[in-house]
Parts: sequence; structure tokens; C-alpha cells
Amino acid sequence: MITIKNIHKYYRKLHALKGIDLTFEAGDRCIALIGPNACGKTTLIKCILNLVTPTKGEVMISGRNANHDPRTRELIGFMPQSANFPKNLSVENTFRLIRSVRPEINDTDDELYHSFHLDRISTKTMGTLSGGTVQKVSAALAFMFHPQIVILDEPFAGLDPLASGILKEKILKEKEKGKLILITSHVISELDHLASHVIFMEEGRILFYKSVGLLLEDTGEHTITGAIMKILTQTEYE
Amino acid sequence: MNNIARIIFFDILKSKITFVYFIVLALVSWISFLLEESLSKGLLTVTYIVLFSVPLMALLYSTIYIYNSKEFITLLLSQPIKRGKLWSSLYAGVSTSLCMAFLLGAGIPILIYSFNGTGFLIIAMGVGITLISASIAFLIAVMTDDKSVGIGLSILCWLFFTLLYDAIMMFLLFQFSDYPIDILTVLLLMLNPVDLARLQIMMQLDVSAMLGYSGAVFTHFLGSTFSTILSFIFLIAWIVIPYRISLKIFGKKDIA
Amino acid sequence: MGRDQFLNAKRLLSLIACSLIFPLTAGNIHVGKGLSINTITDALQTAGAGDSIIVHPGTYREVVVISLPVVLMGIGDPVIDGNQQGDVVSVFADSVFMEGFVIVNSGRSSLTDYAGLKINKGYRGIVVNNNQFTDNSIGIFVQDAEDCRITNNRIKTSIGESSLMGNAIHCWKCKNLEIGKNHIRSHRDGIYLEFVSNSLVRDNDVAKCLRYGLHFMFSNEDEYLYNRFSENGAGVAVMFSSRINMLHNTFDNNKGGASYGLLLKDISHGNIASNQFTGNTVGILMDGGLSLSLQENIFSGNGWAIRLMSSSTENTFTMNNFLGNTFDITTNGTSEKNFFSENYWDKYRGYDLDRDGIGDVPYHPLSLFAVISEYTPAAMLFFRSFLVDLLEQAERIIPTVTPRNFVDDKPSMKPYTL
Repeated sequence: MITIKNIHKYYRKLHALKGIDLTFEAGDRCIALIGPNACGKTTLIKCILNLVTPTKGEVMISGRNANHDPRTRELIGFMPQSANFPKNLSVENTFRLIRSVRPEINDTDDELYHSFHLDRISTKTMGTLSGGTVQKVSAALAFMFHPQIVILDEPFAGLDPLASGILKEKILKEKEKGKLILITSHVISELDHLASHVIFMEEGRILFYKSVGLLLEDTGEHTITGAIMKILTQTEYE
Repeated sequence: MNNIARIIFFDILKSKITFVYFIVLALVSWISFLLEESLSKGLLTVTYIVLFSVPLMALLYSTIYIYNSKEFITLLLSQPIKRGKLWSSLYAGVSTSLCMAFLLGAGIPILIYSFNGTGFLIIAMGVGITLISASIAFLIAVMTDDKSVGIGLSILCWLFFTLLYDAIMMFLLFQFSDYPIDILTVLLLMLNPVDLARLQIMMQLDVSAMLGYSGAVFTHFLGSTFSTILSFIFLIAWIVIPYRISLKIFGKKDIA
Repeated sequence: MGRDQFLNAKRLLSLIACSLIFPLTAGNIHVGKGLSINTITDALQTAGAGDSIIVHPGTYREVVVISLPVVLMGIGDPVIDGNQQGDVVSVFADSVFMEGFVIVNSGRSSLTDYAGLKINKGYRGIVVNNNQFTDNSIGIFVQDAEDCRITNNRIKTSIGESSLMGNAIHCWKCKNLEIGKNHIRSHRDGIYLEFVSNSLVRDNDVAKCLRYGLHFMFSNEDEYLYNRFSENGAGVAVMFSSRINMLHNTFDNNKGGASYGLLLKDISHGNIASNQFTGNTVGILMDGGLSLSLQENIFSGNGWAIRLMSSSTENTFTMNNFLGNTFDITTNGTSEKNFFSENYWDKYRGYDLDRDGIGDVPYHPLSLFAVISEYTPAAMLFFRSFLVDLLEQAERIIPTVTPRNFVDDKPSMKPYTL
């Protein structure tokens, strides 16, 4: 589904991605992309979305080059780290705006819109909403077009526990439908029951890409958190 | 206008700043026409608005708007939408709403009090300068990631077009006043869109004086079809070239 | 005043002489196609002094020489066509009255001045009324004559070449002329007066002349009133003359590199009042004006309302309206003893706390930029720019370039209704 070939990214002198090779297959996968701050997670996601142009290498999505073909993003639903919307746009109109980008899709997924009760605030303008509510809008938008790939950048930051729960359920549900889901998070514990695979990045490189089962087996831990902590302490010693 | 441009357009129209801009333009224009005892003085005041306030507002507002729309741009770019289309929608939205504020604020009183070639010229120049300033602002905003640097550049740019360029040109004129550099000065001034608009409006408002003395030399030149076409080409170039460059940069820009 | 009455009495006398006495005392001779007399020349040969010659419609291709006092009346616009040979009509007699003719095609030469009608040296009391002069080199040429009236004529020419084109009404060394209500287009000068004194020019409409609408040279004690001078090459010129009254005239749209409404060159003791100067490149260009009084004139929409060259002194400007001019005053030097008082300047931004209609702050009508563009005309290109505005403001606060003695101490707060 997504093939990433030898991607390098320089921000002027800063070498943010140092040769990333990854392949994500379609179906029943929820991949947790984790790593310390400034390890290149967000840059990698932005490369997939073509928000960032790789200095070298390419991202292929369903056989199309993400860098040249905006249609690759028809397959992707994206929830950014901190979404900001036109302040004077109402919630309703924000949804209308995003829908208007893809007028060919009539059947939208409005599940989150309803379960987050966004219909109750549909006339409020985005500028007046709290950070958490904006995140809810952002999440609902990510799933709206039944995308094959869902990319969520720090989705739970700012969400209250109830909303986090709703979102987690939604992620699991979509995963079971055979979607490819890519999540980044600082808080690894949040991913414990979601992730089927884990990518660990450090300083612009992939440290490993394993299924959760294999990871737990290798480390002898019961949770992803534990496994990661163990690996990290091991690398520290080495 | 496509859907995104329309949404941006209405978004800006609803914002207080364009409304204040509209109110200020309308107040100043109406007051200058109502209170000045002669029409030509009213037109002069409006000319000063077109030459000084309009570019400042359009430059600053467009620059700030682009910086403030960063997340919105990110949001839309994660949708299957071409970058070029988004950028042009942004430009269309910003420039249309600024032009609307100008046309409704200053354009209506101008047309009511001076429904003739001069009135239309002043309005056309106001619209032209708005489009040019927005275009330059887009270039500044896409080239600098730092908002305060960008706003600083916009103000510098405005100072350059309204003041520094004239100061340099005037200095050169006095330095080389022994040489026949009238036409050269005209041509160099025409490279600055604010001066270009000023000269065109002056050709209407101060035609008697412009016809005087050796002034007749450049009146002859400025009034000619050739220079009208040249002015038009320069104005279009000032709109198109900065915008095209900004578009090209935006096409490859990393949305951080 | 006494002179005027004297003039009027004389004019009245000549009028009576021409139009009243002759028809009563003398016979009528009819000229026309199919009549026994079919040329004007034949009629003049048979006529006696005081006869009336009545000319019927038709084109008369002849050169008419009038050598005795007669009345020539055209009925239905008879045309006298000079066929481009010399003067079409020449007058060698006193008290000739000529009316109702269309006089065309005088000779054209760059060496000799040919005219549609020429009044020759030493004659007096000639009236030229209600004729049309077309395509003549000079329309009416009055040479060393007195007490003549040139009224209600329409004069124009289509001669384009300036060396062959003469003045519409050209007067040389005359006295007591009245030139009134003529309609003049497209000659070199509209009305040219050289060594002409005690004469009156009024109610003429002069436009589109190549050079001046009205041109005084070495002429004293004349007046011109209620004339309109539009779109002439250079406007009206009054040169080397004194004691000229210029009242109630309109000077408009005289535009161009060397154009002005009114040029005053080395003249003195004139009175310029109640005139209107509109849309001229320069309203009044005064070069060597001495003791002129300008009051109650309107200057509106001119490039420069007044250009006062430094050789002009002791002129007074009072109660004039300055409205919507690009520059109100400019000078190439410092103003020496010119007085401005109680004028209305629309650029004045002062206040009137005591409400006496006079601004409490003196007004300096000479702007920095007017002075700058006087020395470097190309600086006009920067006019109305932010830069010039700033300089202008600075100059108002700390004057460095503009002479301080250019000042109206009592600027009017309101425009005068003139």
C-alpha cells in the first residue's frame, strides 16, 4: 500500500531523515510510530502526505508517487498534531469546506461527528472552540471519507478521557475493517491495545519495525510500554 | 471562484479587520468628498488613500493572513488538492475581499462624485495596487517562515515603494539634472507600481500643470498609447510575476 | 471716465453718419446676377459719395477697391472671392460701411500681408459689421486708421501653414477703435494690436488660434472686457504696454508647454479685475509687471495660477479666489514688493478664532515643490508622492527654500462669490 524508498530529508543543514525504507501492507494493521522528540516522526508522516518534499528518495502510495500526484491523498485521512481552522468558519462550514474538496464522495462517515456531539455546536465558529473540541473536529474529518489509510499525529493530546475512548474505539473498528492506521504518540501507553505493529525511530533512522507480538516476545514484556522501555535501557547500556 | 476561494473570501469578509478597513475607507472617502469644498480636493484625498493606505493594508493584511492560515493550509494540503489550486484560491480569496472592501468603501463615493474617466482610473489603480500588494505579500509570506520577519519585510516593502524608491530616484534626478534624463526617469518610475499609479492619476488631476514647460516632454510620453500599454503591461507584470514565483516556491515548500 | 465718454460720443457720431445719413441722402445701386450691374467694381464706378450699394446673393470673383464713402450692404450672404490675389476688399476712403458679406480667399504670401479687408492709412470712421471672413491670410487689416468699428464678424481660416497664416484682426498704429462681438477661430493671433491706443475690445470670442487670442504690443490706454479666450496656443499676451484695463474676461484651457491664460510682459499700471482663469497651464505669467492691480479674479484648475517672475514688482493681489490649482504661485526668485492680501486660498489650513472671516495665521502660498520644479521641471514627476508630502510638511515647519516674504497676512476663510 505505502512504499517508502530510501528517504532523506534535510532542513538546511539538519539531516532529519537519514534513509528511511518502509513498506506498509494493506489490511488490519495499526502501526504505532514512536520515538523521542525530534526523531523525525512528523517529518516522515509529512513526507507521506507530501507536506514535506523529500530531499532524496520517494514515497509510493498504491503505485503513485506522493510527491507528484495529489490523488494519493484521496486514500489518506489525516489528523494533524495541532489543527487550526479558519477562525470565522463555523463547525458546519468547516465540514462543508472539506467535503467540497471531494464532491464526488456522497457517502461520508459521520460516526465521530455524532459520537463527539459536534452537531450540537455546528453553528459555533472554530475560533471560539477549545483545543480539545478542535481536536474532535479534526479527528472526525480524518475518518470522513472512509480512507484506506488513516494517519493520526498525536491524536489523544488534548482530548478528554471520554473522547479518547471514543476515538480509540473508532480506530479499532476501522482497523478491523482492514484499514491501514498509522499513529504517532509520545505517550506509548495510549497505544497499548491499539497497535498491531511498532516502528521505533531515533535520530532520523528506523530502529526497528516489528509486530507487537514479536516485540513482546523478544523483550519478554506484556505491554508495548514495557517493551520499549526495556529496549531503550538496553541501548543506553550499549 | 472555486469553492475554497469562496470560503476563504467569506471568512475574510466576516473578519473584523476587513470590515474596519472598509469602514475607514468609506469614512475617509465620504468625509473628504463631503467636507472639501471642491471635487478635485476630494479626489486628491482619495488618491492619497489609493497610493499610501491601500498598499500598506493589502501588504500587511495578506502577509498576516497567510501566516495565520498555516494550519488551514496544512489541513487542506492533506486533502487530495493540488497545491497550485490552494494557493490560487488563497490569492483569489484574499485579493477579492480586499478589493471588495476598497470598491465598497472608496469606490462608491468616487463613482458618485466623479463618474468619469478620472474616477474610473483612480478605482482601477486602487484595485491594481491591491492585487500587486497581495501578490508581493504572498511572495514575502512564502519566502519567510518567521511571521515577524515577514511582517517586517512587508512594511519595508511598503516604505520602499512609497518613499525610498522616490527618494533614490529624486536624488539621481538632481545629480544628473544636467543630462536629458526625463524619459529615463519616467521609465524608472514606472517600474514602481505606486509611482506608476501616481503618474497615471496625476495625468488626469494635474493635467494643466503636467503640460507645462519641459513637462510637456513627458506628458507627451505619458499620454501616448505606447505608455498606456506599457503601464498596463507593468501593472500586470507586478501582479503576475511575484505571484508566479510565490506559487513556484509554495509548490515545493515544506509545510512545517 | 471722461475719455470713455468722449470715445462713445465719437462712436455714436460715426454710427449715425454711416447707417442713417447716407441712405436718406443718397441713391441705392443694386448689384446682382441678371441685373444691369453685376460686379461690385462696376457699381463702385457708377456710385457717388454717400450712395448705398446693395449686393444680391451670388459669388463675386473680383478684387474690390473702395475709394469713396459708400455703404455696401450684402443681402443673403453674397460672397466676394479674391481668388487668392492680393487684398479682397481695400478701403481708401473715410466713412465706409460694410455689412453682410462673405469675404474669402485673399492672397497668400510670406512676404506681403494680404487681407480679406484692408483699411488703409489715414482713413477714419469705417464700420465693418456682421461679415464673414474665411480662408484669408489676414482677416481684417487696419493700418494707421482712426475711429473704426469692427463688430459682429465671424473670422476663421483653414490655412494651416503658419508662415502664410496671419492674424484675424490686425491693427497697426490706430486710435479709437472698437472691436466687439467678433467670433474668431484658427488664425495666428485672434486680435493683434500694435501701437493702438484708446481702443476698446469687448465681447469677442476667440478660440483655437495658433498663437495668441489677443496680442497687445506697445499699445497704451486700451481696455478689453467680457472677452473669452479659449484653447489658444499661448493665450493672451499684453506686452510693452501701459494703462490697460482687463476686466471680466475668461481665459480657459490654454494648455501646453509654453501656454498661459495671460502673459504680462513689461507692462505697467494696468488693472486686472473680475477675470476668470480656468484650466490653463499657467493662469497669469507676469514677467516685468510693474504696479499692476489684480483683484477679484478667479483662478481655478490651473497648473500654476500665477507665475511671478522676479522682475515683477509692486503688484497687488487682493480678494482673488484660488481654487483647485496644482500650484497657486511660483516664482524664480524672491518676491520683491508684491502684496497679497485678503485672497481666498483653498489650500489654506488656518483657523479663524475671532470669526471675522479672515484667517488668524498668515498664509504662505509658495510651496516648496513649486520652487523645486521651477529649477528642475522634471521634479514634477515626484509631485503628490509621499516623499514630496513629507518634504512639504518639513518646509512648512522649518522654512529653508521658499522665500518668506511671499505671504498673505489676511487670507480669507471663504471663497468670494464673484
